[in-house]
Amino acid sequence: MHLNEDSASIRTPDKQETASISSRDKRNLILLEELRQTKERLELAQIAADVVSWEWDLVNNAVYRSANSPKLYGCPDAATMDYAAWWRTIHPDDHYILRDEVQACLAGRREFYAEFRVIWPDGTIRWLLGKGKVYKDTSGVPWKMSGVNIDITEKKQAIESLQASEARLRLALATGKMGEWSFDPRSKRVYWSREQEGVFGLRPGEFEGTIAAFLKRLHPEDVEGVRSRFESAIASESPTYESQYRILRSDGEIRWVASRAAFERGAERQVLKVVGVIVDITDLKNTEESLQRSEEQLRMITNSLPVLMSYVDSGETYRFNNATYEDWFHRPRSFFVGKHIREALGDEAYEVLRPYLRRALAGENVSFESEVSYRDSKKRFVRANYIPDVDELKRVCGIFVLVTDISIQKQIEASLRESEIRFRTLADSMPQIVWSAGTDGRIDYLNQRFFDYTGAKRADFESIEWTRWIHPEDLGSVQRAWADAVQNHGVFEKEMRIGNVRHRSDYRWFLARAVPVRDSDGRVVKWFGTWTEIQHQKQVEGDLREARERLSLSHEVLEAEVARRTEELRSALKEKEVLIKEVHHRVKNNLNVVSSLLGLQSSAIEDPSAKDAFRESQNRIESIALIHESLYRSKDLSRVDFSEYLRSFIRALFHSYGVDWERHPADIQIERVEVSVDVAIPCSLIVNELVSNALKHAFRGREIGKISVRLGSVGGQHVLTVEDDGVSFPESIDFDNSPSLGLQLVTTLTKQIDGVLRLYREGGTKFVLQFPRSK
Amino acid sequence: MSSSHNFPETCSPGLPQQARLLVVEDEGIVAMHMESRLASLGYRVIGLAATGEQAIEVASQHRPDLVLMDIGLRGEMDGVTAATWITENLGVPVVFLTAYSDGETLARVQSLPPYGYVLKPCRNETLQSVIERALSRYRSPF
Repeated sequence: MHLNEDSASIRTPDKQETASISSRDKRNLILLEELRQTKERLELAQIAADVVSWEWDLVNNAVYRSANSPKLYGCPDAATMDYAAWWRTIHPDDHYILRDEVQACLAGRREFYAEFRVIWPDGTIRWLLGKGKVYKDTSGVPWKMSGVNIDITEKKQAIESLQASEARLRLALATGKMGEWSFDPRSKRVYWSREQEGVFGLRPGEFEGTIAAFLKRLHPEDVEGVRSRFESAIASESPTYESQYRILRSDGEIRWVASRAAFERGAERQVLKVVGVIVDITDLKNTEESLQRSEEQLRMITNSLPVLMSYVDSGETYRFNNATYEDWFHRPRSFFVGKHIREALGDEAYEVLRPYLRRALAGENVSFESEVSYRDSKKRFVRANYIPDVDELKRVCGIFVLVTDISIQKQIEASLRESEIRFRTLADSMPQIVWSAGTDGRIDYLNQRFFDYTGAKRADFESIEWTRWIHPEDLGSVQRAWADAVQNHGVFEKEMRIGNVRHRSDYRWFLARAVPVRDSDGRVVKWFGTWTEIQHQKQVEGDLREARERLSLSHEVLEAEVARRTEELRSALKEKEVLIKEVHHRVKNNLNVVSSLLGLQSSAIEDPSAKDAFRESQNRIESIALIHESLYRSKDLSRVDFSEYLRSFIRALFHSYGVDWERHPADIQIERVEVSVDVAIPCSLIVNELVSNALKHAFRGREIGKISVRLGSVGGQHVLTVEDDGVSFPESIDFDNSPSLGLQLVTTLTKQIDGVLRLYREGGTKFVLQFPRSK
Repeated sequence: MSSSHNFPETCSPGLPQQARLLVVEDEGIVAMHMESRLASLGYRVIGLAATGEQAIEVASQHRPDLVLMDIGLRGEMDGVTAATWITENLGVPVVFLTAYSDGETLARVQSLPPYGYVLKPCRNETLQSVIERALSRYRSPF
């Protein structure tokens, strides 16, 4: 089943043939020479036509190939390849056909004929045609196969293209997207089939049949191109014409069409007729465009991603690299393509990556994070994904590689970890209980102080509610306040008792406070809180409260005591007042008794002057008695309403002298003044003497006249005036040195009250007494 | 000075016009002086009383023609109360003796039948005219 090349066929003629040459000698030599020349020509023809000949010695299993073999197989040593090496060049998909064909040929069923693909070392795939026949010995056993190979790649491609184009044509015809047309240069008439009219959106027969009618239905931008291409095709004597352009359908839609035409020419090469077809290729165009666009987008995305993307084949060689490679390693992408990873990234990096590459090449999806020291880049912390590219036979053809630089992320994580440690160290060293909670209000961190104080273990805390440490009496209000704060994002502040979990009775007061922590958009992302022990404060507050209560109590007792004492004093005062009144009353009564005694005594006396003397004494005593009566009727017991007193007293005095008050009232003009008892008695005695004097002497022997008494204040002085319109006080009498007891009393008493007494004698008698107000 | 002096009616046999008076005064000497003055004016003092109760008792017993009544008396009953009882129950006129007049006392005195009052000290003439006026009004109120 092996093929041979046949470049050595000249050296291996048939054995029987060799024998005949040696026997016929010269004739044979000439023939040989002709044969050689023929072979030489054949060989040249083979080389010129790119035909490779081969011969396969089935007995010795040796292969001979012509020297031009490299042209077909793409490797320099193609002429000397053994069978195994040749078999490896065959495209795997064609192995079966080739094997089957060789077997059929050896079995004598037919001559060898096969079309198959070879893969060049650079990956190029070429189609070859192999033809050959089997040579059998006399007993019918095959001993040799020989034949030729021709490269039929272009032909195959043409066929494929034709097939595709035929398929499209068939499809287009079936879908009404194709039309036929023809043009007669002599009549200038254009003929369109109904389908052609359909492509342009026209009803059958609507097309006018002129060149102008055709041109007006083209996209304005394409008119000139179509015209020039058509004209140049005619001029170039080309048998065909091909063009793609846009048309304007009658419904206004713009569509792409492909037009092909063949020129029928006459003997002078002049065009006799043009026949063509037109195909609507809009969808194809759109598909191409969108494919191109999406490829472009994909390329942009691939290149704009800040990640390394590459495809590595099973030999760990880069086949594709995105633009990020240029950013990372400062080398063009072409540097990487075709290079082994070790060569591209350096030994150090490769040693780190190798185990993951091996796993991926073994078919595993590999993800890993690692620090990698690249040769042409800084040391980076990367996250990499290796995704094996597996074909339908489950073989790993390569790896899709995705690498992200997470150095910054790692740095942030590290610094976050560090700051977290710093925070915890700080929080643990604080004298308060420090905690944080999520937005749902569940506590997610408590510092060491909490565990030290409550005796709880961190492990316990995972499974037990924090509220367990709160005093049952405080629990309800604390939970309500906390729920309210969490809901309304307000500040939480509450005093509560927290106990040691093992000694439930050992509760101490704490002030709990918490504030919401907000992000840059103002959303609450966390709660941060403290519990500060305020036991001492509470104690002080309690003591203060007690002290206040005690103080308040003492105050009340004191008030009551003051009220009691005041009442006592008031009643004592009242008693004293009653006593004083009683004393005044007693004095008055006693003076009345004295006056009565004098009266009784005088009733036995016949001498009128002696009787007068008694009566005067009685009047003096009664004036004093009246002062005491005024005193005990007065409110303050030490001062006398002197004006009121004088009215009563003068009236009584008039009575005592037998003057009818109704007929001869005194003219009394007295301001309301109060004087002390020290002044009142001397003053009343003075008034007694002066009024008595007027009553006794002023109107002797005549009708009683006018007596006026006035009391007023001028500056700091009281001024008392006693005046009558009777006989003037005798000039002969010096009242300061009068032998009369009455006047002596007046003089003495005036001195006693620091007063000044003046006497006026015009039209009667007028005494004016001035004495200080304070008296 | 709570003593009272009762004088037998026979003690002053005299003129039928000689009026019989009861003096109510708690100061004995003052009462004595009054009695002396009344006697000098020709009246017959049938008794001296020191309290309101005594005054009612003596007046009930001896039916005087007039009672001279001091307003301020010691004891439960003052002069105004005793005078009201005597006037209403015995039909005996009462003249008040008062050393001093304040508004309140005067108002009380003036609410009683207008038999008069005397302000102390007073001359005998005044005393006599007030007594006579009271007696004459009582005797012939018309």
